[in-house]
Amino acid sequence: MKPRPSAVLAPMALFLAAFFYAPFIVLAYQSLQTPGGRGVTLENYLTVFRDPAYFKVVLSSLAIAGETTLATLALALPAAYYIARMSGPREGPILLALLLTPFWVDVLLRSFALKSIIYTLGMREGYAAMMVGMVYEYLPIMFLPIYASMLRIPESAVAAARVLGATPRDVTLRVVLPLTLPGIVAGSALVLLMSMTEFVVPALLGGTKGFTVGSLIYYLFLSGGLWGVGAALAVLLTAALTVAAFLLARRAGGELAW
Amino acid sequence: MPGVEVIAEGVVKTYSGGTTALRGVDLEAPRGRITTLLGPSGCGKTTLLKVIAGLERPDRGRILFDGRDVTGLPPERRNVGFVFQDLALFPHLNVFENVAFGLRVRRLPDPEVRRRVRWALELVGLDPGEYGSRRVNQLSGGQQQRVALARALVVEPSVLLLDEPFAHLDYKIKQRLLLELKRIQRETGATVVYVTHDQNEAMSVSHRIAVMRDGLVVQVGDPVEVYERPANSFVASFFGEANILPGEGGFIVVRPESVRLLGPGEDGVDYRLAGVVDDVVFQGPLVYVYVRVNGSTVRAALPRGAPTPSVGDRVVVGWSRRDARVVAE
Repeated sequence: MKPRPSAVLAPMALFLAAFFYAPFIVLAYQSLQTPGGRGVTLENYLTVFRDPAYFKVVLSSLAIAGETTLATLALALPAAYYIARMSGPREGPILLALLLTPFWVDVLLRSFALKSIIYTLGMREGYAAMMVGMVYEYLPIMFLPIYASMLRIPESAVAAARVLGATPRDVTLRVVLPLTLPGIVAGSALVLLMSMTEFVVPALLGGTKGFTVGSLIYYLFLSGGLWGVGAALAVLLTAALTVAAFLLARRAGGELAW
Repeated sequence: MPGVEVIAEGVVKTYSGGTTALRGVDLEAPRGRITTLLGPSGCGKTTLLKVIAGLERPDRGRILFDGRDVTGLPPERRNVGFVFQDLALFPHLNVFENVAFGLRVRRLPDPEVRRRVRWALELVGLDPGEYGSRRVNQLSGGQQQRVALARALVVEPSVLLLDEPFAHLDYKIKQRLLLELKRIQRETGATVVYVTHDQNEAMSVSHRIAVMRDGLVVQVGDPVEVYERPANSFVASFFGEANILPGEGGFIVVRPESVRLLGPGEDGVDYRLAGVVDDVVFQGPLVYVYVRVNGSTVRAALPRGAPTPSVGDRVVVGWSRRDARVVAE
């Protein structure tokens, strides 16, 4: 017998309702308030769209997220290929453990540790230091879906390609990579969406250079006292990410699951 | 595409786990013929197929294609066709591109690719216009089977290797595909090595049968030869049905259809044994009578319509000398 849908969905729905959706409604209400809290206005939203400074931060966030995505992809793809398709039965799990262990440490602790490493190396906070921190944080999120996709490629598909005349290089380009595409798309989308709103790493390692939408919202609320504009920005960002998540989920449910 | 003659010489293969899959196999697969490797699972038949394809490297021994030693060649340079048990179609490519794969990696020009893919799809009975653009996971099992066959044939392989390709199909579809495989082999003149554990499949397709057991080829011959003169009791019971009775010098092998039920005073046999009917089983064209004789059971296959005894009847079974074969083991 199948359990009732409401029973299955309820635990998570209640949790999210209490800690995300209800606060989000408060936030949305906040975004429509005039500074004195005396009336309803769209002024906060208009500010976000009118002031080019906000748009610049969104663009720079996109750039940081895009670079993080490309960098993690470049590191994760060959590593996943090796562990999933080339390593021996004893070697694989060891490599996987060695690769993933550094990421079990909390991002805050890791960023502080990275800060002292960067100082030891003679570097200071700035764009480069922040990118090191970003890649460090998002590497496993890129790696795991790619690795999972590669593991699922049947050995016989590779053997079939070889017998049909494909060199190892042909096999990689014509069989392994196309069949890894779902993992690449999933990993890239996750890293892109998550890193756009990253706040900890830019704050600790970015110095004056690293500034994401996440950082901006933080400062609007806590330093700038501009709660209304901060709330409006947060609502807009959430809306954009929701659309992106929906598109991703729809793709993942259909085409991606070859 | 006339195929090559494939010879395996003293092939030994031990896997890294320590299991020995092949213990010195000699095999000759004649050009333009279907040779079947028949044996129970674990006998090494699939490993031998992979060694021929270059997917496994033998520890010892050689593989020759028309006398040329290909043992050191990687699979992509052997020009073989291989149909895998799980088919291994490429899920990211449509039917046309699956079949075209071997031509694409050979960098053939587009018009030639199109021409040959069309030829291969028509050869296996799939309409290129209707099926070419379909995704492979939208096809039925039998259709996927045809795509796998077309993909292997399109490169005009020196030898076509088939690893239990029809194992998962319904009986009727399997019978039809076996007939089509024979037709395709006749039309193309391909050398085929066909792996199966199913004696009926082996009987229907083979020009030549190699019966394998525990990493060795125990007997090679054409189907009639192997059926009529099995080398030992294993071959006798694995290829066709057999009564195997202890006798002088080893065992006596008698096929059920050679066993006669004798009426009183009836003669014309060299051996006769008295017994009691244990069971009578109707099997379409034949009726099997199980007769208990001195602690063993003798099976007689009678044509339908012949007088049949009932369970519990005392009967005499017999056979002539030329239908009985004595084997040492």
